Amino acid sequence: MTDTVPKLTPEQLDIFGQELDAIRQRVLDDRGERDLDYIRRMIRIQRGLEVTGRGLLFASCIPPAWLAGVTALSLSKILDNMEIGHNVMHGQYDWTGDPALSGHGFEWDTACPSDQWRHSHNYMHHTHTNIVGKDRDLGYGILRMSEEQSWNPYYLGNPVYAVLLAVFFEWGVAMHDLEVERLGSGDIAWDEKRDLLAGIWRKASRQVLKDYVLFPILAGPQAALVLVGNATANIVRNLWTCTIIFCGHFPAGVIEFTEEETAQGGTSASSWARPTSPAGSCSTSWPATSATRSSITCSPTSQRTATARSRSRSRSSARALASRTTRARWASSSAVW
Amino acid sequence: MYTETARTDRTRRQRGRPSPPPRRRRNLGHRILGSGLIEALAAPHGADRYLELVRPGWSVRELRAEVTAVHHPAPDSVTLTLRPNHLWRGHEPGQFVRCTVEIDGVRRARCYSPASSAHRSDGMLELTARAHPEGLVSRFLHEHAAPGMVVGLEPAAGDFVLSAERPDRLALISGGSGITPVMSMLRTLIEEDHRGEIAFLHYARNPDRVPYARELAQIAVQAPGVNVAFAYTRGARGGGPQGARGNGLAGHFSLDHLSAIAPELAATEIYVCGPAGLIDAVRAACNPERVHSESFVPRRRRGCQLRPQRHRRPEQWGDAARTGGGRRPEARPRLPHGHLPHLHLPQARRRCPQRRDRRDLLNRGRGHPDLRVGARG
Repeated sequence: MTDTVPKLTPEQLDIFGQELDAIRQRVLDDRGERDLDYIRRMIRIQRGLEVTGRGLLFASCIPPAWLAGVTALSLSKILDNMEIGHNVMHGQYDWTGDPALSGHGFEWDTACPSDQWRHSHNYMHHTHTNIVGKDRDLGYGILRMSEEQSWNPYYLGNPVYAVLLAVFFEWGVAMHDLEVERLGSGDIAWDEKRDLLAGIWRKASRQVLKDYVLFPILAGPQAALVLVGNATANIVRNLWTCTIIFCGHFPAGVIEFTEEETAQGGTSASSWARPTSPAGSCSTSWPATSATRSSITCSPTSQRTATARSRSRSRSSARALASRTTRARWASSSAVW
Repeated sequence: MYTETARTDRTRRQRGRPSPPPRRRRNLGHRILGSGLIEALAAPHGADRYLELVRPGWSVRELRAEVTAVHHPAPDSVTLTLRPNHLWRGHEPGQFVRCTVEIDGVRRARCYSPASSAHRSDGMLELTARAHPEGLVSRFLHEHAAPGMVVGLEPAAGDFVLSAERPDRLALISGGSGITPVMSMLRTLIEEDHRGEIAFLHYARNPDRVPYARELAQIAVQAPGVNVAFAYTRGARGGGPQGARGNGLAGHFSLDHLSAIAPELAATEIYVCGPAGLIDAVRAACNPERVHSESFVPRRRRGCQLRPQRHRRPEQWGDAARTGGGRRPEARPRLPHGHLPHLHLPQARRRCPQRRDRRDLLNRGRGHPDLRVGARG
């Protein structure tokens, strides 16, 4: 796979890095109320859809209402996860200071606790993008997505695992940071993951309580229809997010790296090359320009601050600055999750 | 401007029984919306994230306030009357609140000392800000604040408060925008029907810059035992209401100014709020044990070149104080996120040796969006 993509020379990489720096600066200079209006409009649409969907599901005895309710609720969950949650939790709107848009405070409508996702995504995925063995978004520890991953008979079930992962995607994401396969093989002890488990339990139980207990109970005689409706909405969201993410992460032509490769040539410019492969084939079908805007804005500052803040809030801006000088990798416009 | 006469008369009848600060009771709506069930249904975002979309001021868990009236007591000042929501727990006279406004999409927090009485019966809060020429928030409020605007609040804080057992004789001294906390003290004492002597001495550059001038004049005439005097530091001769003691004051603080309106100085508790120079002068002239002052910023210390005129009240600190950034970091003590206690000596001391490093860092980051912080105020 990697043979088809020409490797860049160090000089070319430098120029490439400078060009991306310039783009980043241009976007940061342009950042302002327009971006804020956009995300607030998205939030209004999402909350509107959610309330409408839940309301319609209370009228589930009328089949079109059920269908409309499920559609609205599915859209709401997709928007919440993909366009609002992902971008906000990248720290993209931290500059506003609005607690509702705070990268380290936002919680999203899925089983995965936001703090764990911020670690696995903002740090493990975006810092070690496409490094086999580090970036767990490569196959999620379940699938074999790359020739770099050594084959064993377990991978015979790849298609089945893929379907199951798609249907129960939110649970896959929730358990992403647990590294279940390493727990199973005994590489890590359960004790080390106790805090993560507690976090998943807290978050997931709230999600289950809301979608599968409280709203059905409130619907009285239509409880079963509401429960099925909520489950359907969750599955629709799972299928959607899984499809988008797999399209964004694993198209042909992506260059994977080994840990040795990146340890040697970890210059700023070469790190640019990882998230965005030179062939540009990692780009997704994200339609809106705002997605591109937003993904670029999420960049090193915001990502770094998001992780740095969890450690030491008061030093976050200094840290962001420091990390800027030792320029590392940042989100490309392509990697969606 | 002085509209509290009727209330004063009423409280005067209840002699010796200061009413507790008004507290809004949680009504049924708040109870339902704040209940665990609603919170569970609104998970993971919380009920507030839905309510605020209906109306920005609505919130069950966040302290916010809606601006109900705006007026300009002096050409460069703005007074906001705020209606805080049910989470507001009142303030002690002299405390400050942290107030957040959104300017060009960015939330900016500043501290202002309420000037309103702690017993104000309608539960409103009155903040007065002076529009500093470089002040981002104060200028914004001066130019754009309008009824209906919603601001974020934090509970009142600060130790510069009247002692619970009110002293018989008080001197309230203020300079510039330091008038607001002592104004709150004065109004509170009047509502409590304080029977001792109160000397109110305010320093301003010139007569145009005194907010509450008319109200103070009225208080001096109507309230027994209250002496009001203004002193102007730039040319004009100050004074008080006609016939009052302390007419013709000019220049910076001197003991003569104070003794003109507070004859029995030895038995007087002194509350002073203003520039560090004023506080130092009052401390030097009076018994320091009786001087209560609002001193928000660190004094000059070894290895740290804080100039006294750079001392600022929290109103005058920028966001930089919170985030540690800014163009003149030496003037901005660094605060832990979300905290604004009134003294930050340990933090300031810790930062000082690293100032040069920080400045270098900031210079390198000039133009960095996270550190492109608004100017003072």
